Amino acid sequence: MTDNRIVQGGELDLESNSLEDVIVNPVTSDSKPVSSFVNGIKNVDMSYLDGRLINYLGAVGGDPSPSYNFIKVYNLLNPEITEIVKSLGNSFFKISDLRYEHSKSGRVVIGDLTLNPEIPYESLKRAIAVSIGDEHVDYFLEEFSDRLEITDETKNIDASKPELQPYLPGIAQVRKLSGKYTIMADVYLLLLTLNPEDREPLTFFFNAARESKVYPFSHKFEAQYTLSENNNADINEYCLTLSDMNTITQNPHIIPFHEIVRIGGENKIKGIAEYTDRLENFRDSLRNIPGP
Amino acid sequence: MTSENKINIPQTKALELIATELARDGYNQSEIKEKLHQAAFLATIESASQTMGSRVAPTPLFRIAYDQDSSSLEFTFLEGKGLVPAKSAIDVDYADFVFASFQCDRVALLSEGITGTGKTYTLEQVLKTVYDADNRRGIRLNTNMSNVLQPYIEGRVDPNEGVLRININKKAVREIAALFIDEQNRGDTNAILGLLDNQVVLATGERAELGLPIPQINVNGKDVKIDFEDEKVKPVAVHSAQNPPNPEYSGARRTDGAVGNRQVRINYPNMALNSGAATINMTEQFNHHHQTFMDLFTVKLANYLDVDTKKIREFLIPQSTKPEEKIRANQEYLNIHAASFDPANARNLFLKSAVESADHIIMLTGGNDLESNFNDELEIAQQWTDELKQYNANFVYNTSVDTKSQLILRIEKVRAAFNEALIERDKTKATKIADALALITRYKKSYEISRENGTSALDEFKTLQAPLTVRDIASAYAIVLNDKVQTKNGTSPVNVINQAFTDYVSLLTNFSSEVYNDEVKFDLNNPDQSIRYLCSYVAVNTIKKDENLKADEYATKMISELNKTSALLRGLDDGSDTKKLLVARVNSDIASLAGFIHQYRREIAEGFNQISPSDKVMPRYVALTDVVKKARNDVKTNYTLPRVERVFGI
Repeated sequence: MTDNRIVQGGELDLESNSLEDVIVNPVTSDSKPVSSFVNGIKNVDMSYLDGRLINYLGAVGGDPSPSYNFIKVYNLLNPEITEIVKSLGNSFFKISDLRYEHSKSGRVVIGDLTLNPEIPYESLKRAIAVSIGDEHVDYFLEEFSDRLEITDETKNIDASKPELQPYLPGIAQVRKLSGKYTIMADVYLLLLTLNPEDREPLTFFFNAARESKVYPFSHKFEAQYTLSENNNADINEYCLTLSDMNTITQNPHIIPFHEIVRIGGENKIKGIAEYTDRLENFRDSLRNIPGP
Repeated sequence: MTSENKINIPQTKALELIATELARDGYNQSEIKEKLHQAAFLATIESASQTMGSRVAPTPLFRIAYDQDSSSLEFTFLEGKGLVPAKSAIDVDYADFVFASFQCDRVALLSEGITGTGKTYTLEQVLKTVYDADNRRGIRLNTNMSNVLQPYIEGRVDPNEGVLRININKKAVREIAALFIDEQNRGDTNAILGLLDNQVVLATGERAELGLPIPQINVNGKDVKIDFEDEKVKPVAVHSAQNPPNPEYSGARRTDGAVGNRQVRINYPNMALNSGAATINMTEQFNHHHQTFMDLFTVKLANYLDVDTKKIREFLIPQSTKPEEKIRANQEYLNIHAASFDPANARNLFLKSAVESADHIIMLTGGNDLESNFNDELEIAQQWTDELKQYNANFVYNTSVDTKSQLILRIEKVRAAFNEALIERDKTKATKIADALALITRYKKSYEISRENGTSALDEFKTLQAPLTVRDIASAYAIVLNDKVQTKNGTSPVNVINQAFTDYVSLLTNFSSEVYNDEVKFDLNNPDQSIRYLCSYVAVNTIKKDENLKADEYATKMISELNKTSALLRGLDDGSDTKKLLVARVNSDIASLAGFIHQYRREIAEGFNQISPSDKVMPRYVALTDVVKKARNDVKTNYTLPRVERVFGI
């Protein structure tokens, strides 16, 4: 007999279908870990960016009009659309037209949150799984792909197609999120200003820089999202300000060049120059934000 | 056997009086033992503190701070510096550890520090206070005197052969409660191993377990009987001191690894600056420690137990100056002491979250290197995925750790500073220290609350009895790992412990929030909070209402649910390299559980079908646990079974 010293658990207050919405990936013949990036950057882990997006939608700052010295908070998520947002991931969302506007305590960054009509094939599968169950998605696509003209897995799909709407019932709800919002002091959100296909490689560098806590992640630019409605905190504490943007974009590539080389070398990335160009262009686009 | 070597029949009248009075008040056997332990423990530390208060300056060693609101843990080595008391923080000083060592199972302290700092003084003061001279021994080692067994042996000339025979002194074996070895590293440190394992073994093969006999209190209704069992002894508390193995201390060697991993090394701070002028009027010229202590102890004990003080004092205080009366009274005290300081009283249960976080600490500090540890886990998950193809379950964790990240490099730096790899004995040592820290935390909190609210410290001490938490176990590992760091050079294992704690709390709360579909906060004392428990629970939750399913049907449903928990977990690493290690470990344990369910599906179905479908999960959860327990005793065919045992906390 063993002398068991561990306290045994008891009944938990849990629904019987608590994991109903969890998406599982089927076993594929190529499910070994990706260990290098010899042929370019792919299969990037986008979960952190997705998580930041969900946090942002859960605590987005609203109207920064000069008459307010606090942020009116819009919580854009409810449990139903949280699941859809999780399934679609960041690829369905875009922030565009960044600009500065005056708040009572200074200039802050504003953007338009819109939904990408074009989403990657994998995102579409996940979104469909929310409504019909993940075990039936492959069967559904086999049967309906021709009719819905979604036969090419390498191409983005227009999620706004009327034919798709019956199978994506939550999409209309998600569309209601579109609007003008302040951008929180979270450097990851800036990746949403890029096209989905450009986000993946840049997210890879962001993830690597964040894990190593190098600039800009050695600074404060990972918002805490602890806002609540009628929060009377200064808007500058939560939102990207002009001064923040100047700090973030002070390096030609956002992440220091030597760090990019380090990350590239450690991961055996071929064609690093292409990515430094992309990071440089990204930084330039952020340096040229219009506004008062 | 000489008359000197004869073991006297123990005096147990005081113990009988206490047990009888408590039995008459309606306490049952286990309640009597518990109350005696709590009362005697508090009476001992209060009386010892009062006796030594003006003679010993405190030496703060650690601060353990835990903030429930932010779930943050801070462990700090104080190096003698007294900090301002902080809310939610417990400061542990050297004397606390000595008191805890009397109560806990073989927590042996090794004080290391430069000469003249008082590292032997404090310990000697405590020993002199709590024990009569006959029950404590001090040995100072040097090149000519390296025999640490000297207190336990006796020589006599064999009258027939005229040669000297060495035997174990059986009286000493049963009367020495504490042993102090000074200058440990100037003698043969290997000889100390036996003492640290609580035994003495002679070259002749003669051996004995060391320690005070523990009286066994048997209560039947109001009848009380006290007896003794040979194998039940309270291990001798062995403490040591030494100078650092630096060139200025000739003959002082580095601590032998096998000795070191049995001891808690205290880097005894030089307190001259911190204590300042407070120690100027302290003098060693005082020799009635134990007498003063007994005067206080008897009154406090009687008060706590609500028994007749006069009678207790008659039993425990010598009533005349005759040597045999002194021996009788001391034996009465030793029996109370041994019964209440039985290490079994200080052994705590563990919360599942404490065990899981310890596992993550082990993952970060054990094995060859972090990358191999990680890859081993991925391999297990991959292999089970291949084995369980028929269920279409995918446990593959498709990621890698960046071995050049600052985080991993920082942890590898700490690992590289270890004098030897993490071993099983380190884990045992951590458990013992966790028991000691939990005890210290508990009595400190009791006095704090009692002072604040004007309540009884004994009542608070009783109320605060609780299983070991993440805080206790993480702090214990900080001490154990600190002992393993050979040369400091700015290397501190505290960062590794903090990382493990942060990873664990974050993954547990994120995962639980997803499963409950509601925000879950970490609760240090919640017995149900555990990632593995939640995974296994939801698997059984999915079949709790099913009736008479076939083995394959039960297996398919549960493995599918485990597959979901695995998918959920794998998405929660936040890209953090250390969290990936935690996710990989839990994930492969979950995959191993899925494998076990497949292998034992017939027995599991039999177990389930004997239990009616229900809204409750526990009946079938217990049935599944029983199958795991049974498999543990089968001829082994599955060597990932320990992972499944880990899931069930058995």
